[in-house]
Amino acid sequence: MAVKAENKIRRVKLPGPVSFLLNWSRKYSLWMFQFGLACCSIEFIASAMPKHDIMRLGVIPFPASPRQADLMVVAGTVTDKMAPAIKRVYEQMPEPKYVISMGSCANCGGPYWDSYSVTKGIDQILSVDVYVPGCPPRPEGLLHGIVRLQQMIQGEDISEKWRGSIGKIPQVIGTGRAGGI
Amino acid sequence: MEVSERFRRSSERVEPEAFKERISSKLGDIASGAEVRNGQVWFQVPPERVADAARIVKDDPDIDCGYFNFLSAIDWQDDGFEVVTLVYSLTYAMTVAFTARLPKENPSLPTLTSVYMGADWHERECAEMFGITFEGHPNPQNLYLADDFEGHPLRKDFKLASRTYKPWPGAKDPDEAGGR
Repeated sequence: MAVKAENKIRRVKLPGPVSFLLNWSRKYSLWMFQFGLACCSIEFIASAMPKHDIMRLGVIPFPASPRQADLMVVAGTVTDKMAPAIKRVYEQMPEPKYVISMGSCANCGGPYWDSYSVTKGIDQILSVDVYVPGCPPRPEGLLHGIVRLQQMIQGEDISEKWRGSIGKIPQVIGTGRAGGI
Repeated sequence: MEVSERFRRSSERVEPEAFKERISSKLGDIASGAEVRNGQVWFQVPPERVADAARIVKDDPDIDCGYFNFLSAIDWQDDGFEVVTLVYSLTYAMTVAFTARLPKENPSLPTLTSVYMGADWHERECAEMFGITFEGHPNPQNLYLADDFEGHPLRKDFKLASRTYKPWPGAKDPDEAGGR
């Protein structure tokens, strides 16, 4: 009986309007946790300040704790020594959670591609939703990345996501030109 | 030294050459090959006597290098290692550097932490990056590298894993760059 009920739940799809409303409200209230590690962090801060004003996109920066956050932006150079801390913070965030990898270092190691201490891409330790290229990306780059993430959230079927059957498809924005999108 | 005495001495102008002579006479047989480079006094000390040299350089009122600047090493590959210690005299506004030559195999040096507390982290960094043992160090652990890191990354023979499949695209030496 229990098995049958579980199967039933598994097959249930959220009605379109409910899914739309849920996703619409989720994508415009992203609590964004900052993991600023290097110069990308400065661009990140600039995007949260009045000129670029990330809050107009419905993103709330600087929550008190990763436990309140929906989105983590890893901005900067991740070293092998720092990687366990990032993983731990990521694991503290409640589901559904998203990660933006900001800048070349977090994407793939960037200028430290041959370093002995730098992790070549944070996607080795956690799943990344949007990669923002640039060294560092301009605040507009991060804003573009967030818009892409919001598009992704809007298209999600949350019941699928909670069942864990959905494979995350990473989004890559831009052309790889330094600082541009 | 009294503060007033230090203040009086700080108003004297000391030439690097004269300072070099002063160091040579105070250190005696500990120092060898003293010379002035870019206004700094450089000399060599035997590895086992670096702490003695540091003690004199720090405590002698005529040298008075109370400010520890940095300690690091140079990898001369087959010719071993050279540990460079830079200290500064606030009284005479003079930089003093002393070097100790170590063998390639099992390089080790007595610690300077009993003389200069500030040498602690510099020696830890030097130890993990070059594989030089500092005997008598109070806390000989890795400073920057992870505890399970293998190898000594600032040694010239350290292999960077990424470069084994993609060589360094530029010139390693300015001479090889062809005057670009």
